[in-house]
Amino acid sequence: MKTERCILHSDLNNFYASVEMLRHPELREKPLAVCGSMEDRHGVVLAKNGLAKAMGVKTGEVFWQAKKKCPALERVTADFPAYLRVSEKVRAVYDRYTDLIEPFGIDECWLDVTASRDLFGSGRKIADEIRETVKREFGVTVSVGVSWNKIFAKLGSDMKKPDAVTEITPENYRETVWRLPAADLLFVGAATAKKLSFMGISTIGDLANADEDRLVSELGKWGSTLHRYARGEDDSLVRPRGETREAKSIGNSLTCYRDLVNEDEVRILMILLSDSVAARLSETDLGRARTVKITVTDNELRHYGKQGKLERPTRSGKEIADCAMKLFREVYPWRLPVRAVGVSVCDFSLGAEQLDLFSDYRKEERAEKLDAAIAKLRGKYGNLAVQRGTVLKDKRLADLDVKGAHIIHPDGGYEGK
Amino acid sequence: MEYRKVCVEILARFSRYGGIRPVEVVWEDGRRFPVDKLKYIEQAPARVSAILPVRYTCMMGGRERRLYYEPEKERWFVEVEG
Repeated sequence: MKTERCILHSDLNNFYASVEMLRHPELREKPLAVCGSMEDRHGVVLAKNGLAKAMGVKTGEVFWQAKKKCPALERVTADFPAYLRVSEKVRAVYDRYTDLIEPFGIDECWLDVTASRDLFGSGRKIADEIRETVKREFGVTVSVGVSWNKIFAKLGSDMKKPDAVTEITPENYRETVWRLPAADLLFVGAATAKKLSFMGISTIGDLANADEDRLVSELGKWGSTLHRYARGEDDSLVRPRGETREAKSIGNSLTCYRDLVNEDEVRILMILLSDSVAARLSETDLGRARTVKITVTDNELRHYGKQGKLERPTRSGKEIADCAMKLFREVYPWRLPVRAVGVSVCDFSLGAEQLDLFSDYRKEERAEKLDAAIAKLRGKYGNLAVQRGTVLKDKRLADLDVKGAHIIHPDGGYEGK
Repeated sequence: MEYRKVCVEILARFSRYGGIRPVEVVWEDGRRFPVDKLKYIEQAPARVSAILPVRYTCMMGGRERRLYYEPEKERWFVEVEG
């Protein structure tokens, strides 16, 4: 177990509610729920403050349910741009101590301060300075966990709330981390926790001391990973988001057999290209893409390009295509027919993202499941087996196998790790 | 002690090197209060409704006063007792 690194996990306490209490200081002493859209009284609780939490209000429940548990409950509508602004300001504070910052959702970050200690003092001292600074400058609080690995650092930040620093050391982890329920371990969900309990494993300590082979036989490779996490042996790096932005993109472009003269024809190509990009993206572990870039070439070889951010990160061909078409309409003046079109995505989110409770994640899940099913069928029967209705309109376009064919000019590439 | 937020008209100077400095507060009744000296500029929360205000601690009329600037609203406010 290598313990040379020093990792911090900083977690903004009751984040949305805390920001709203800055906007509504009169609500500080009252139980408060921050809810999504309030039309037709179906607002869902996205966050609550300490007083509401104490009354049993839970994130994810509908407001009227929460109000039954807590009749004095106040509510405000969520203002996501404001939370983003505050989150960026808080990250700027982290940046004073290290550039190795990995965001985990809007309110959590890992910081690698191993090298920063030479300048700023011990991990604990840095954590404490950050905690004080965030409170002093913004009036919101963080809980910070300090340890030699990301997993224990995150468990540490959960231990004392609000406005606290917890250090997990090689001397104390058995008394602190190992006593916690196994379900508290990062990425252990209800299903895994259940399986573990059937194996007689209820605490993280049980998991750490369990036989690794037995864990692998019950949980597969994941069992081995969890075993490592529980023992403080996770060596995953803190990966700054900026690292992914410049390095990689996945794209395809296509020069059609004939020039395209209207938007419908361009859409067919955009859909083919977007599907292909989505398929390639899902074969990597880059996660979801945040930005779409299109290139258009007219028949006098003049080039147009535009890029835009997706409403939220996606892996779905349909969402990429919708965005690509929107960009196309914004940039192309239609003075001449289109000769070639390219679609690429970049700015990926690695790993798990916090579920954005604003969006209809069920819709996105369905789109993803659809994409996955299509990919499976295509894998079995060839890429032409499943095609969108619009594509079948032009038989010759439909016969273009974008992913597999040789007429494609791959634009920007994905270099495997 | 209760405070209320009063948005005020401010005359400010933009330095050629960047940065905003309040020069004068123009009160709603027309009275003008010059800022004699700027002591600190800091990111600091207010006691009234504001999310990421910048606090300008100034000397005005021999007393220390706080002027707050809200960048995304491009406006200034003060906290008034009562």
